[in-house]
Amino acid sequence: MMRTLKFVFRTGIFTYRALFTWINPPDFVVVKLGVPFFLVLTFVLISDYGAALTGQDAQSYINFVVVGNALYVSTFNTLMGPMFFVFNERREGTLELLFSTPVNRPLLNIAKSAIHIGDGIFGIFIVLLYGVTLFGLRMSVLGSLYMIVIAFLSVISMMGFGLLFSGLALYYRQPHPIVSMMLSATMFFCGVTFPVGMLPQSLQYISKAIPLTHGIEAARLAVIEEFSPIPMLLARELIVGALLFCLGSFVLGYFEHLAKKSGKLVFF
Amino acid sequence: MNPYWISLRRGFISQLQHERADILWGIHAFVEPVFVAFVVIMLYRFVGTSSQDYATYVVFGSGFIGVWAMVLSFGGKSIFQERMQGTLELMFLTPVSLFTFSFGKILSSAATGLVSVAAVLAVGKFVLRLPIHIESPGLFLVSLVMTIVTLSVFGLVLASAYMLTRRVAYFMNLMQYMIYVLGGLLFPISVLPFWVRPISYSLSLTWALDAVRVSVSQNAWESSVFWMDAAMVTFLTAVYFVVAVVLYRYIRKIAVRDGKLSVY
Repeated sequence: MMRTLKFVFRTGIFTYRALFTWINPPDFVVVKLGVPFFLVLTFVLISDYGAALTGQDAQSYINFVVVGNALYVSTFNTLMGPMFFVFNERREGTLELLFSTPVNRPLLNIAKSAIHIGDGIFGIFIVLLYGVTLFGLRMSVLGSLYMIVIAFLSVISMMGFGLLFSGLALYYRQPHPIVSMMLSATMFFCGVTFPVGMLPQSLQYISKAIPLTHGIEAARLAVIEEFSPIPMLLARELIVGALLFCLGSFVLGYFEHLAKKSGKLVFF
Repeated sequence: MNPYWISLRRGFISQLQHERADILWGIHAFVEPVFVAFVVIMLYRFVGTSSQDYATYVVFGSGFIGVWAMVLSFGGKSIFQERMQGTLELMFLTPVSLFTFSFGKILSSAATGLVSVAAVLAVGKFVLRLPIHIESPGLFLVSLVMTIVTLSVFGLVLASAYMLTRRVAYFMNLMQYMIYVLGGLLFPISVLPFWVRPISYSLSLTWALDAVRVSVSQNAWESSVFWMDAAMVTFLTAVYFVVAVVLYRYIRKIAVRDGKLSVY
């Protein structure tokens, strides 16, 4: 057990360092603080403008989009992380070596995700901090404690979702457009800026199949201190996340097979 | 034929070929802005805003988010990519102007990005039934061309800056979202605090998008706002161009002096 934990920790640190080896603290601040700030500010200003036109108080809408975006920024880690660790191994020419080792592949995926989970949670709290300090968001102590649990479980569950698409990075030359499209689709389907109930019924099924939808709903309930439905939402989120993780590992294996068969593992 | 024109045309064509080789980028240019438009429209509807108030902001804002993403993804990194592929030294050695070649590539990316504008316009008008009727089609086309050109020249500044330091890559990620706010892509800049507005006014995209919206919503021929927008776009584009030329010359000088043309 200890050996496995050590492996997970070591691989996680190693992956993260490899990904951000040449990033220095000022750049990290720009990426981690600047990007989420302007993202959430965009939607806060839209809410503000919309509410001003209709003569309403914008605060409830601002709270809505801040909480949604807080959870959403973790997808930068949960979607991009799994996809880029496949892509980067390929680009650096280490993918063949990795695939020829007898290492437990799902465990390796978990290990590589470990630091992204920590970073994703950090991102969520950065946006919530913006919300509290700049956009008038109010949270009780109990609500904040719930938020820690929600953030942790949402990021873990979304790693399964990210893994599902990481196999595509094995098969396609450029994962960037796929990631970009997935990020936009996640924002649309998960109710980041509007209630999922506004979507047509058929699209709501897709929303329910993405773990983040349940996490965002739980986080909004934590802010307005309606705690009773939260455990059920988190349970749903975890179940969907676990199913996606299993499916993701299978899909990754399938694309690995496909890439080997067509000789596209390393060459495009 | 003018050698600058040849390198501009070759840059344009080479970028088109590059984009055609990776069909995913085409899908991306089509799909992502539509999703952005849907997200913003749903938020406006959630707040209860009338579609009259947000239609032109969402349609052209989301559309030009696609163009902006293309300029950043391809254009901003155009000179840097030559370096990564090991072709930058060869480009420097040939009598072809790398500056105009890069400009051709960026112009091509921005022009391809017009797919995004067309996609959002079609979805907005025919699927979401947004009240959009182009009142001045001629000047609408002029304003589209103007926006493409000014974004391309801005991309040229970024391309040169990218050569100075790879840290610009992180700022590009930031700029992608920063422009949404500062350029007033999805809402009027009057929403921004007073002290932020001068930054918005220094961006030609702010004026260019205003020109697009004016040409859609009224008879732009008789609108002083449109001509003011056009004048500001022309002036700021000229300023960006001068900055790009100065930066490019400086980079060329230090690259040769330090022998770091292909060293990252």
